[in-house]
Amino acid sequence: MHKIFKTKIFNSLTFTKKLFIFAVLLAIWQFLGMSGYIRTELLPMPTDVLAAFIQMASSGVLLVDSIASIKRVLIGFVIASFFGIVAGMLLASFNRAANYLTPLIELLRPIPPIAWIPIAILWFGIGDNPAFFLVALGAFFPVFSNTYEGVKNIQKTHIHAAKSLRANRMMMLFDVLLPAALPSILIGLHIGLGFAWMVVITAEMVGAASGLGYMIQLNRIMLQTQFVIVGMIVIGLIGFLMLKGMKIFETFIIPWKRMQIAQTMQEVQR
Amino acid sequence: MSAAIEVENLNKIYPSNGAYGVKALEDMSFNVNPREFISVVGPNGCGKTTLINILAGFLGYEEGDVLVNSKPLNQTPNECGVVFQNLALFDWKTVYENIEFPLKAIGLPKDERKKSVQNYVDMVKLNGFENSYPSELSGGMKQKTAIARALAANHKILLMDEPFAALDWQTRELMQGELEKLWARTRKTIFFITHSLDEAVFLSDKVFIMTARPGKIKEIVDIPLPRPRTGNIRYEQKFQRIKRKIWRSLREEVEKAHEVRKTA
Repeated sequence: MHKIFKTKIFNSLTFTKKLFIFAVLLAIWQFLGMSGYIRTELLPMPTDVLAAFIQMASSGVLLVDSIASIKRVLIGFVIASFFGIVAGMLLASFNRAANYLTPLIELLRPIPPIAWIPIAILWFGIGDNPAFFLVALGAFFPVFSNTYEGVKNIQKTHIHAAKSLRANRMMMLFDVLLPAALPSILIGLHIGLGFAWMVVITAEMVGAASGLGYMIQLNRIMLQTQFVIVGMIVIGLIGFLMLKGMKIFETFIIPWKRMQIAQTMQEVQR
Repeated sequence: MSAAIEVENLNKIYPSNGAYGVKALEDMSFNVNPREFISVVGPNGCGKTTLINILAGFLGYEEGDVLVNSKPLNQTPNECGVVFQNLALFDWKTVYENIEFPLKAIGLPKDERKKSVQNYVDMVKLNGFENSYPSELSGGMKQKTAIARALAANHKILLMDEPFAALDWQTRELMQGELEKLWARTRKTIFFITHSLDEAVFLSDKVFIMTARPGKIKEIVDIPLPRPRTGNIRYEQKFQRIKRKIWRSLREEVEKAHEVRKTA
């Protein structure tokens, strides 16, 4: 009890420390702007950014753009997850197919999604569709390779056990392979979601007429730098929240690990 | 009644970089009668686990005839239940779901599965832990779960590959007693691999002693101790005498195995 109390104080101390550093940086930034050392068109002061944020939030523009970006990420990510998991499981289960397809995948993987933007615009025009395509492309590879590795690394005795327990194909897939690979698949989904968010912003800067990426690009052209910075902060926040949400989803979907995590947490606290 | 397991002139060679490969089993022959409890002892690397993997249908072999329940092995791959050295419990399933797995596999309806799982939970005394995950169980309880799961598959033959090796000796002795009772109750044929002579003598009707690699059966020792056996039997002279006899025979092989390793 006493120790837990101590840890809490310690934690809140580090929190105030972090906050302190943040406040100092903001103060210096504000000072530089006010004293005229930095041109505010290049780096507007924190107070300008705050005012810009309030203006954008109250007019609803910020919400509309955020929703546009989030929608693109989610749809592209769901597509990537589906194909990534299915392809990863299939290739891991069928060696012969893997022999043919792995070289192709390894060749496509190093092409950054940004390099696909011209093709995506040619094929899908401007708007949601090229963004879905690019996001799916960016998120596919981490999901695919982690699923593949997850299935490949399943203990042989688990498969043997399932066989000796008379598992049919469906049970082998849904009761053994998939759950055994799930921790690895979730890592892939986590990385994939991070990629997806980066890709969507980039894609919107070039090939869209809405979304946070489009918004910061437009404001750059109009030299409204304070709006650009508001956009950047919101992009960071949403990305952060999405990955947090993903973490919560992970502990929810693998309860047998959640117990382990809880146990180690207890031991650490003791 | 025909034999539960018949092995004749079984040869198993692992491919290796050399021209010949590693001979794991050579001209191995033996029979196991239904409802017998057989233990196999042998020096490290003599092919005990290879033998179990072949009998379970996980591993092919080069020569010989292997009949399980009078059926050739290649026609019926899953005639035996297996308890693995590392247990191979499904970490993502609770105790209940692990035991339910083989029942689900044969398509038993849900309410019957429930009854059956309960039966096995009672049998191995895991009551109260049905909803625990393997990571939350002690070594002995994990063992019990693995055994219950194998029993639920309802094979006539149970192959056990050093299942108690990871347990402390107190738990180990308890588990041996439990296993002897389970064996008597379920009337299974058990083929049990172990490093512990104590365990082998306590549990078995017969002990197979294997030679150093390439492995074959060197000697079969009958254990004419009365059943049911209790822990105290270990301290009786008869028990010790049999154990010594097995050790004398096994010791030669262990030394041979060491010689081979030195020269290699």
